[in-house]
Amino acid sequence: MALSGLVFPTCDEPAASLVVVVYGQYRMARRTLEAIAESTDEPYEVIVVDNASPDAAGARLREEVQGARFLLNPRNLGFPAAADLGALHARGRHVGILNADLEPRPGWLSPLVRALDDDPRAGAATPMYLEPDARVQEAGVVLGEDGIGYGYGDRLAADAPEVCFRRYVDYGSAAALLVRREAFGVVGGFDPVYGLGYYEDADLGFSLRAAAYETVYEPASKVVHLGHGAFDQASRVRQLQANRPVFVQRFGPQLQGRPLLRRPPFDPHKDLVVRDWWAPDRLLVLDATGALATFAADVQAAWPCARVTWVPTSPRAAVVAAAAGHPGVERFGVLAELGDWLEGRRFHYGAVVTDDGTAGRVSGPLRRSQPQAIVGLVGAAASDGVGPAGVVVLPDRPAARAAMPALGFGPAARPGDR
Amino acid sequence: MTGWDELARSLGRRVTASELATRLGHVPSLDGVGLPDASALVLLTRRAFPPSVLERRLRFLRAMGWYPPTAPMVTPGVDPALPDEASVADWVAAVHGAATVVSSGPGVGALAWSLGRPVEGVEPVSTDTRELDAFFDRFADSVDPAWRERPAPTVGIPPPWSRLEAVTMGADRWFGRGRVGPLWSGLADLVAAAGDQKRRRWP
Repeated sequence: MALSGLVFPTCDEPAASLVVVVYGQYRMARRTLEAIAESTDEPYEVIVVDNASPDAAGARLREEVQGARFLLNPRNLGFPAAADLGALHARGRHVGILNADLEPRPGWLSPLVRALDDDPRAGAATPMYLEPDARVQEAGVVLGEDGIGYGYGDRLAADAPEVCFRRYVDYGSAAALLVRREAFGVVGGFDPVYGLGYYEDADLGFSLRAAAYETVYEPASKVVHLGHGAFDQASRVRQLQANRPVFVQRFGPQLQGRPLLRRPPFDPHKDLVVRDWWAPDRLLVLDATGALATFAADVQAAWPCARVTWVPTSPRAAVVAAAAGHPGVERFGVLAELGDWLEGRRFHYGAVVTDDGTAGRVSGPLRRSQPQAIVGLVGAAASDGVGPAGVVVLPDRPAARAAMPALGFGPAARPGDR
Repeated sequence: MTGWDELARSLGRRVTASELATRLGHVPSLDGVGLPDASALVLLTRRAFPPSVLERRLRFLRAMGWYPPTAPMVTPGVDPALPDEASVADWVAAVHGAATVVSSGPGVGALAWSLGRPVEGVEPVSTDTRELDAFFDRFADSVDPAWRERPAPTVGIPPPWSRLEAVTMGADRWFGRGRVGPLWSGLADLVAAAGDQKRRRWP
C-alpha cells in the first residue's frame, strides 16, 4: 500500500487509541503506520506524537496520512512525556502505546482488547514480540533483583509451550502496550523522570501492580519489533544506566529476593523462577488420559493468579485434550524425557495432581524433583480411598477441584476481584 | 476545564468513584443518587490522588512547559492556565505543586487543605470528613451489604500463606507428624483484618 493513499478509518467510539511516538526514522515510522492500517481489526484511532524529529518525520507523515491526529512537539520531550501527551488526547477506552519500529501481525489488537475487557484485574496487556526472523523477542519481561530485565522466551520458537499461554507479568515493553485508559490515569501515566526513555515501562507495570492492576501477557497477539528505532546502541546504554538506579530505588522492596538473571553460568531455571515469581500457587498436572485437562482449566479459571502447567504423559492424552483448555494454562506436548523436564523445574510446584496411569511411572523423578509438592492422585486406583503414602487421594475431578485448598492453594478469586 | 466550578464538578465525580471503588471494588450506577455537594467532596481529594501520582503529573506538566519550574501561586481551575486536553489529575497536580493557593471560596479552601497547601483569602473550613465517610458507607451498604466483610483488594505481594501451609505440611509428613488443621489460618486472618483496618483509615 502506498502511503500517499493511506487513510485511517474514523470512528466515534474507538476501542483503542493508538499513540505512535516518532523520533526520526521516517521510513520506519511510515512502514509502522502502514502495518497498523493493514493489520488492525478493532475500531481504533491513531495519534502520532512527533518529538521534533531531525528528519521532520512527523511533519512529512502529516502531509501523507489522513484520519490520524498529529501532535508535533517543538522539542524532544522524551518517550514518556510524549506518550503521556498522546494519551491525553485519547478517546478510546484503552490506550495503545506504540513505538514507530513495529510490524503488527494481522489481528494483533483484538486479543489485547479482549484480555483487558474480559479481566477486571488487567490494567495493561502486552503482546508476544517477535524478531524479524519470527523467533520470540519478548513474552513479557522478567526482572532480577538488580532491576535488569530480560524479555522472557528470548529466541524461542513462537510456538514454544513456555510462551504460548496467557499470564500476568511484571511488565511489558512499551513498544506495543495496550493500557486500560482508566488505569493509566490512576497511576498518572508514564513518569517523565525517565527523560528520553527506558524503564518508564517497568515503572508503569510496577505502579499498576501497586494500584492492584495486573499486566497480562497475551500470546495470541503478535507484533514484530524491529527494535531501537529512536536510539543508537550508545545512547541506549546511557539511558539504561541512568534510569536503572531511579527504578531500583523506587521499587527495590518489590525486587528483593529475586535471582540475578543471565549472569554466567547461565541458568534457565532462574528465568523460570522469576517468570513465576508472582504466581505463588503453582500446580503441575500430569495426565495419561486427557481427562485432567478440564481440571487444569477449572483451577486456572478459579485461581487466575496461579500457574497451572498441564503435561500429557501419553499421545492419547494429547489428542483427547486437544480442544479442552484455558488460555492461561501452560500446555506441553508429550515430553520424551519427562524426568529431565521435571529436574529442570526442581522445587517449582506446590502441588502435583496426576492419575494412576502416570503415578507409577514418574513417582521416582517426581519425588526427587518436587519433594516439596503435595501430590494428589485421581483415578480408579484412588477411588477406594487408599493411595500410596504421602499422597492425597482424590476420587474424581470435582473432588480434586474441591481439594485445591488442601493442596496448598489459597482462597479462590471471586469474579471481578481486584 | 474553565474555572473552579467545572474543576469542582470533575473532582466530585473522581472522588465519588474513588470512594466507592475502595469500598465495593467497582463503581455502581449513580443515577438518581443525591450526592453531597461537589465543593464538600473535594475535601477527600487527597484519597483519590496519591502524592506519588501528583508528583508524576507535575513532572509531566513541567516537561510540557505548562507549569513553572519553581512553585507558583495557583488559583485552582484558572491559573496557571492549562490547555484543554489537561486532565483533572493535572489540575490537581497544579494545586499540589503550589507555593500558595489563592482562594475564591470555601471549596477551594477545602481542596487546599486536603492537599496540604497553604491558602490565602478564605476562612478555615471544616475538615471533618465523618459525614462524607458515613454517606459513602451507607451508599455501599445499599448496593452490597457484604462489602465490609470482604478483604481489601490485594496490593503488593500477597502473603504466601498457602505456600507456608504446603511447606509445613510437607515437613510434618516428613517427620511422620499428623496434621490437626491448618497452622497459618489464624495469622492470615489477623493480617487480613489489620490490612482491612489500615485500608479504611488510610485508603
